[in-house]
Amino acid sequence: MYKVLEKKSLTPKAFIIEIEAPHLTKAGPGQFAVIQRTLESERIPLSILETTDKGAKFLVEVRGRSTLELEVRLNESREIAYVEGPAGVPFEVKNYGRVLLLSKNWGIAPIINVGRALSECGNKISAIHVGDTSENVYLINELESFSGSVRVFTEDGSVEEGNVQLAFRDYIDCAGKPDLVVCAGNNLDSSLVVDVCREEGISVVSMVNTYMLDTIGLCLVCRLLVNDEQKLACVDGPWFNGLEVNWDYLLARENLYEDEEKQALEKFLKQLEREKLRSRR
Amino acid sequence: MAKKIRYLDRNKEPMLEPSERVKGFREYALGFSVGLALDEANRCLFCKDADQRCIKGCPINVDIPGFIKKITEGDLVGAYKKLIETDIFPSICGRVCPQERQCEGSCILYYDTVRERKAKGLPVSIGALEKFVGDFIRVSGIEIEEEASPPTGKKVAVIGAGPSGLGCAYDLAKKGHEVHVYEALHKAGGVMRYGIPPARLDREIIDYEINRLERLGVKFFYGYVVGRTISLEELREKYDAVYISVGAGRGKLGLKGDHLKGVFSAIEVLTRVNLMEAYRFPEAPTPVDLGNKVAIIGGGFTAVDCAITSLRLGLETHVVYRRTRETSSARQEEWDHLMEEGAQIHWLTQPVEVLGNEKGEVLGLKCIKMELGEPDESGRPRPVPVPGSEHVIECDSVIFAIGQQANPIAYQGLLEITKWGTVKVNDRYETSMEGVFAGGDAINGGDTVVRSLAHGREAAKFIDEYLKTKKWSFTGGS
Repeated sequence: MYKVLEKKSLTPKAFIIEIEAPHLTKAGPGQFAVIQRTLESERIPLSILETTDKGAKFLVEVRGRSTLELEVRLNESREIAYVEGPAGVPFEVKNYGRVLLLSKNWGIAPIINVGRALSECGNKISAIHVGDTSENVYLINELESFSGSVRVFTEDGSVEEGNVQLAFRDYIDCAGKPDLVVCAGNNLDSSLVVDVCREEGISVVSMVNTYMLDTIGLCLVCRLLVNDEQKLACVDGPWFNGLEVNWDYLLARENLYEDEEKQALEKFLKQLEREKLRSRR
Repeated sequence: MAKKIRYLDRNKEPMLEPSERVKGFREYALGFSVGLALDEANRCLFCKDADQRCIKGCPINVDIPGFIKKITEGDLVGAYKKLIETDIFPSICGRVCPQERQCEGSCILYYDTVRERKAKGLPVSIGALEKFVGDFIRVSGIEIEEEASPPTGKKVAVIGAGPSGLGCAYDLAKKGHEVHVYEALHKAGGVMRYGIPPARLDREIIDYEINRLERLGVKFFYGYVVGRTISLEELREKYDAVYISVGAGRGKLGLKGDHLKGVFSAIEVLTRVNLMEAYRFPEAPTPVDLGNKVAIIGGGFTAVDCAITSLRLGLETHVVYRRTRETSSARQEEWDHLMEEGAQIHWLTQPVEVLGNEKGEVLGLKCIKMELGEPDESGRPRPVPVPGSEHVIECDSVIFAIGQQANPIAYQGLLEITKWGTVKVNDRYETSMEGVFAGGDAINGGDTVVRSLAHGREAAKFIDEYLKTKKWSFTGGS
């Protein structure tokens, strides 16, 4: 059992947990971990927000049954049965020059993790974060702590209205082309960013989002095409040269389990309602 | 009076009815009762030259007449002790070994391996007897003392908790070494846990065997992906020796149309269902979605396990194999079971393309019929396409069960490898890095549970020697 040392709510949709896990303390920038609250729980891949003396911190955005289960059950018991990691290949940190970080929703966690390392390595950092709503806007202070400029938008206009692609275009118009773009959080947004990068001749490294299962290179559910070659997000990624990624392939596989996810969430919500009823009696 | 040779009255293991089997994932082979086991044990002739027969046929060289004799004497504890001298997991091997090609295939009642000719009978049901003894001890509550030698102060890391790693850990622990097993997944057992369906191997058995290892002092660390969490070099520094038993479980695709959404590796489907218990979805949180009709490509154990799984998920199940039943590496009786359960097996059928629509959904599997031609390099008749025999098997999903590839992340760039990506070792299981040994599928790329177990135990012997002498003889080359 791993202890959850801290659980801090950021918005109704997002919270941070620090897990005591000595094997994560030396994780490199941009790596991730897989957690299961119980041995029966779904395996959830989570980007590492930062490593600590005792383990690592994670941002969890409540998106479906398993993340909601974490949110609810961790209030009852601060324990996690399984933590695998650090997984994935660390982000290649070196001096690129001017770096623009683009994050969508929870993508800000890996972006902060990578951005901080890039900043320490002498890169000049600017950042843009876009949330679906203001509930997906968090950790902006952390982002500001190492970025020269940070702009924040939401798609619903609750903060300044904007989307990733427009914000990126706007940035280029005002500040000129960065030497490197790093983006994370949403495949569709990343693919649009990559389109702009291709037009403008800008290097881009993107985190890809895929389903993951064993995360040790066996099951192939996280497969994608990079330069027409099969790669695995779990052991070869999650960071790839955005220009080489076949985004259509990724996007097509994005909703493999959409129906099941809905069903599982509904079932769990019902269960929570029943528990409430019981406690009222 | 001379003992009458009972050639043909082999006892059958009781089975669930096919209609009952497909309803769920509980074990369908129910095992011998005491009476059946005693009667079957009495069929054994206790050949004096058994080391040329059944014992030789067994990859791990179990003293088969020895343990069967104990059964006939009513000494099941003695039979168990005799078994675990060589086969530490009798309940598992009794279930998953292809006995017809090993011990039972060399039983004198069935085939005279010394004179190399067919005999007139049916072999002793060695697998079922082995399973009986293991199961009997497990459910009886009798605790068999398995004592370890006094601590040697040496530490060994085992990478991967599959059959090979567990076998190695067991022997090293018994020899008094401190053994730490690093496992990436959240439960131990490797392919026995994520691959073989519970219908063939109840998960309680694996738990019981892991518990035996823990009682011997073996420590398990879950969530460690060697090569990511910790490097091989770090392990090498922290331990006196390392055993790599990471298997070769990376799935393999490779057909036009394999980008479609309904295309799965066998490993993914098996892991979802057998490890994550997707058959209980949504009670269990991990789903699996194969649609209503599934086509499984392959003719080995993995294909059989996929078919067992999809039948129990209630799906119309097709198995497509380009060779014949006789050349399949799976157990013959498994094919019978599958057909009884309603699977449609397409022998001599080569898949050529997965057909799909613009949404990326699978519509069917385009195949061509094959016929047998001249023998190929493996000695098996080469299947050749029958012109004009293209046809489509309609399905919603396609599972590739066509073998696995090496998974090199633990040793990539650090060890000499073969052209198949597996670890290169000498006959002492030594790798190109001193103090690092390897065995199981990590060196042979895809074999049986029992072969991996055998590797683990043999390697343990050489590791023990190395810990004592520090002699290293790997020279590379061949």
